Amino acid sequence: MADTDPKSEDRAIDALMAAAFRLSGSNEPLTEKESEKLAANPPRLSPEDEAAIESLGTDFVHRLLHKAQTEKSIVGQEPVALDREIEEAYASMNRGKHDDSLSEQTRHEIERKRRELLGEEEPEDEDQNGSQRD
Amino acid sequence: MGPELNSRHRPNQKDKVDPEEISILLIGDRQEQELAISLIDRHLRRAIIYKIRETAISLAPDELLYVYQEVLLNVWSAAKQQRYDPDKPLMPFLFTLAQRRAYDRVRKNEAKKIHESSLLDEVSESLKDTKVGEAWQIVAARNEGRRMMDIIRKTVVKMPTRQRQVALVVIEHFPEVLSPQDVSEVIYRTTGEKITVVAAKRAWQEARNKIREQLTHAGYMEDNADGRY
Repeated sequence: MADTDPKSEDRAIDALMAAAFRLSGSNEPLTEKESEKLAANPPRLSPEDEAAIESLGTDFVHRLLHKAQTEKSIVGQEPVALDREIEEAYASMNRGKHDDSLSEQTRHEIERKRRELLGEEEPEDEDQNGSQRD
Repeated sequence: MGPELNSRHRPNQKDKVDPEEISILLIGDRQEQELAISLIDRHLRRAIIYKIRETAISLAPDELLYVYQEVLLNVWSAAKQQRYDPDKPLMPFLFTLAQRRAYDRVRKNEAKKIHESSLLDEVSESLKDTKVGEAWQIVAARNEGRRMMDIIRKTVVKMPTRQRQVALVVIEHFPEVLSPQDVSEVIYRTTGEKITVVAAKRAWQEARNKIREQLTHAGYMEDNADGRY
């Protein structure tokens, strides 16, 4: 390709970053296999995040649970909010990738464009493919 | 000192997570539940925090730990209230909780809402007639688009704070065309941190170069002689 406009090249990189984080498939619930892979080999974070992780120390859970037991109200364990959170997390895992708020036609259109961008072929049986991604 | 082991459960000493064992402990007595949380922290801390960071790249490091604490307390409380379901796979449950709590934390700064279909159109349009777009066609032709997206996310997640802040603004506002001054102003408005226009511009270019490096490293693009990829 002949020389191109540097601004357009920069814009293209910005587009890829936006796509990586904002397309709905980018943060869907992990499958068991994906979870195992992440657990076995979590990618490195920034030096600041790594330092924060290290700062937790080895007795972090002991301190956290002790604090939770001695304080009446502590974030993360309010019964009503927790019920909702747990149920929604399980529901989200069961739902997989489909956004129920979209019409079937819109969902197919988005899927088509996403496949086009990612260079993926149309699945023979979409439902099966949608729930068994590895 | 962490929770003591009781006589009934002696967890494996391997340095590997055993989800089944943790699930069983979570439906046990109080001591066993505490031990389960300790094992989750010991084996999955980094992975859970990575998932939180990937979901919410705008969080400050201390907020990241706050969300992690919420996830552990959610699991512990679910176990205490006998709401934990040992028949559901543990790790997807933990990572889903991590994603949800991270979303809750950043909901106020939600990305500019445009329909996903329009976003895809804008992305395709931006890639047209560019070397990056040409490289992306190779990625797509090799059916490696999803893998490359994953690499881009990992690259952004591990950027130093300043670059990540700038990348976040760009990601959240796309397809809006921003100037470095706009980016600097958004960062000031959302974090209270003042960064100069020059610093914003430099961080933005460094962030882009890291993505180019990944495309180059994966063999989809050629390294330009001027070092700008």
